[in-house]
Amino acid sequence: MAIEEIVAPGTSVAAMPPVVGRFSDFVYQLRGNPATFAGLFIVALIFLSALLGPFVIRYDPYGVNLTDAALAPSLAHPFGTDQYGEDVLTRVIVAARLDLVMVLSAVLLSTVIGVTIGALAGFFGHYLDEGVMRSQDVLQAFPRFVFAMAVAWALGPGVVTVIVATAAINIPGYARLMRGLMLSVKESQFAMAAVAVGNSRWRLLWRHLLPNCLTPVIVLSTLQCGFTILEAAGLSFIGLGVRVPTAEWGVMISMGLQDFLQGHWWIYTFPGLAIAVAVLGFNLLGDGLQDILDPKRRRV
Amino acid sequence: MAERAPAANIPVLTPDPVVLAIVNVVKHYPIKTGAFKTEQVRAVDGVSLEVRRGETLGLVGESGCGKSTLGRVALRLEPPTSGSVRFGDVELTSLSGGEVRRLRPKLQMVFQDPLGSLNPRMKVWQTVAEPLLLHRLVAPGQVRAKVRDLFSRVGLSDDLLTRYPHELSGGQQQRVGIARALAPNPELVVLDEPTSALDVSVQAKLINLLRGLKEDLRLTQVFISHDLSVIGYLTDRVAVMYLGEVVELGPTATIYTEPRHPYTGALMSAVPGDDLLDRKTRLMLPGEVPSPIKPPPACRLAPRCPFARDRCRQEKQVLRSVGADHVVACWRAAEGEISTQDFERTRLALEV
Amino acid sequence: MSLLKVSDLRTSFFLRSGELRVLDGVNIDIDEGEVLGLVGETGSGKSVTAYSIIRLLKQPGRIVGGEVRWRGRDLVALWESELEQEIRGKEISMIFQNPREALNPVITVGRQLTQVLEIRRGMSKREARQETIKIVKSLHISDPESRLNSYPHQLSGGMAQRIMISLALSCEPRLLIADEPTTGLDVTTQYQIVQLLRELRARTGMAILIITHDLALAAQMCDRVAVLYAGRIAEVGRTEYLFRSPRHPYTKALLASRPRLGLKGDIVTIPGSVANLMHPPGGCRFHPRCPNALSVCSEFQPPLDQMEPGQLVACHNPVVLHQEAAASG
Repeated sequence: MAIEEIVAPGTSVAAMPPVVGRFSDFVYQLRGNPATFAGLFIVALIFLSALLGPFVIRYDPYGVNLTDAALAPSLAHPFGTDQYGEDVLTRVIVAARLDLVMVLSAVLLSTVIGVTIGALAGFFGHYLDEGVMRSQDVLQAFPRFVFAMAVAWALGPGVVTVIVATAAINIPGYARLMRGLMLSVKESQFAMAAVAVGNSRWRLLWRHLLPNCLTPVIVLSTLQCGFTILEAAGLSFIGLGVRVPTAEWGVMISMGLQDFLQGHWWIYTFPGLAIAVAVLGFNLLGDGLQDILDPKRRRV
Repeated sequence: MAERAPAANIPVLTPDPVVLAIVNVVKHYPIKTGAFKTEQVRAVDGVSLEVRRGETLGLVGESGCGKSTLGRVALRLEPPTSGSVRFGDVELTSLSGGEVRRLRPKLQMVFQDPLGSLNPRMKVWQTVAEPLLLHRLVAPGQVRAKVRDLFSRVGLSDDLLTRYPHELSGGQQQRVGIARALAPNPELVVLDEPTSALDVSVQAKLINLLRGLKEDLRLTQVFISHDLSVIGYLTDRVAVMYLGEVVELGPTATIYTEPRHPYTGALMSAVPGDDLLDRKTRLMLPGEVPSPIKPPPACRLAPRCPFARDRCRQEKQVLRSVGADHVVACWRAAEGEISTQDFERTRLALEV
Repeated sequence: MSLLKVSDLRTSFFLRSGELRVLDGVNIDIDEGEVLGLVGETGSGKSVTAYSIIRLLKQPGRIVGGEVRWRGRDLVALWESELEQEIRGKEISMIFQNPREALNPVITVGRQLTQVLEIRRGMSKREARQETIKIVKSLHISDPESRLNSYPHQLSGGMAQRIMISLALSCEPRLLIADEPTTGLDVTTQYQIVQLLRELRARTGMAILIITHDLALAAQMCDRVAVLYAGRIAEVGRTEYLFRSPRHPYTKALLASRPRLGLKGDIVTIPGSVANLMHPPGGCRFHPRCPNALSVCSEFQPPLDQMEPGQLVACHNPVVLHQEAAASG
């Protein structure tokens, strides 16, 4: 029994389609959803670190200073220093930029490619659909991380490799999602109405169908950011991505583990925490967006 | 008034008394009934009709009769499995995609779901402006003015222009749909159950609007509905459909007061009269409408028809004349063996 | 004592934009074995009334006042568990619009029926199966065995509605609430369902509350009809009187806005649109659209007054009956 069925038409009730809202409405939704707010806060923090990091740090992230090597956390170094004397806090903040760039690029890449092929497959159907979906099956048949490793091994370690590898393994998710959405929105009455009015197939796809499929894609992308951080960090951790001594959370963990037996826990723990918090933030935000954007789950 | 703005790429057709000629149209949909079995849903199974200029033709029937499918095929929104649909002297079924698109301004449709037929992400003025822009029917600077004009013609105030569909009431949404259909100055408008989703009082206003438009614009309309009262009020001629076929076709007044086909008789006996309290005798057909996947051979009503004879189960029924402009697909009716009076005298058991 | 007596029921939906006063003092009573029709359009609150009676309302909706007395007990004051065990499905049953959607899609309909009998009436599997077949046969469903092995989506609308009615009847309720039971069904199927409900009432003596926007259905089925507008009862009375000589201007206008075959010219419609439940008009909620409106109508809500025995109208200026019409009844 939806509100819309009870409420007299013409009264303006908040419970309506996604993304066509006002800012005050967005704030209202956030107030009712503290977890989402936390997620938004964390993500904002990461973005801020990425943008402003290099301007607020006190130490040089690559400043090797062997006299200050492996110092435990203190007031001068809240996160301690690593084996090369570089301040861990500084590196964690600066790493945000690199990690964010990698993650956003990868997610953007996989979203654009995945959505495109999924939309085309769903819209045109028949052989194109079969072909695309079977190719995605092949792609998904590989264990995710092994596949990423294979790509990284083939291209050689580096930032670009990480981006390409993590993007590639995520494409099938978007393709499937988009294909499903397209299949259903294709049958909607407004799609038929758009044809009746004289839209060509391409214009129908671009102007009418795609915009109405975006919401779940946005949610997936946001969630995907979190997981991609893990994947990127993982690749760097095993040496297939960014290399030592670049400030990147995964690399920092691997560096830290070299000193594991010496008990210098702060060198790997703090970057690890950074990753965990980042993933948490994106997950909360993604879940929250889903609640906000889905008319049936909105707060009225 | 409705002067045509001739767009460069639309063929000018000579005014013809018959706007649309549907000949033997068949539309089957494949459906998977088992892991390896595919059967055909025989939605429309051989329908021939003509739509005359200036008239409002009603298509009435219950679920599964194919009336909505016929409406879509007639406008070439879906290709028929076989058969022909002629618009003037253009054979719609043999046109390419681009050619069909160029004809779209002439053949418009109003859809059943007032909210669902509007793009949720487009402001309603954009929805109405789209046909004008797509076919370059109006100079770009004039679009807003033309949309305003259309809005006022369908009874919508200007402040609704920038709203999104979900911000309007059902009646308003449907008016937008009508405005959109009228925008390109069509020759024919097919309305597929336009008022079914609306309340009685809202429906009444919309019906008045449609009647007014018909008179002012001399619009040719095909009105599809299962609501007999609305069809009775709005249409000039009506075609009654059952399981993909037309069983009776004629002037509305005649069909409603003197139905000749048993199915029509059953439908008409269910129409509430002026006095809602009159619990008159109803002709009841036992059972339910069979599935369109395996319709009964020969006369499709035969298994349920109280007047069925052997010949009905063997001989395929065709439309035969029983009066002025009035045809029936029932040999017994055509040969005078059964008539309206018989329908009033028969009642049947409830076994389903 | 009447079976069900709803007094001054008030239900609101608490939205961000404010309080939507959907029901604002609804009064209904139903006697044993009576069929009452609750007629109204979208926004009148008729479905909300039904849900309020058996308390199936979901947030953000809430009953904010009034009583619902079932055989003397106030249902609004009961605990959820009492309501569930004793009332819902047992004494008061409900059937919904869109029967195929109201049934569990992953269980066969037969199992849905036998489950209720086993749990609610403590029958064994065999007894339940037999009883189910009996119930289903009494609803004129042919070939019950194979029907019962179907899933809801395999049934036609009319058949699914019969199954839902079977479910509702399985515990022999004293009151059946039917929310738009025939909407969405074919005209001929609608007629079959109406006949069925009539027959059931005659056989079991249960009372029925039919909620509908279909005036024709109400006329055919009900002993008495209550007309609901914007959360308040406008008029209630015996069907014959209400339809032949409606006293409330809204009822009159509603009856007049049906399209009819012989009608020449425009249908007479009700000006304006349904009352805004967030900011309802003061006094009588219908007054902005009413041809009979007086200045008092915008200030004071008219009470439900008795015009003739059994005929209640909430109007300061009800429709005047012509002498001839009154005489012929």
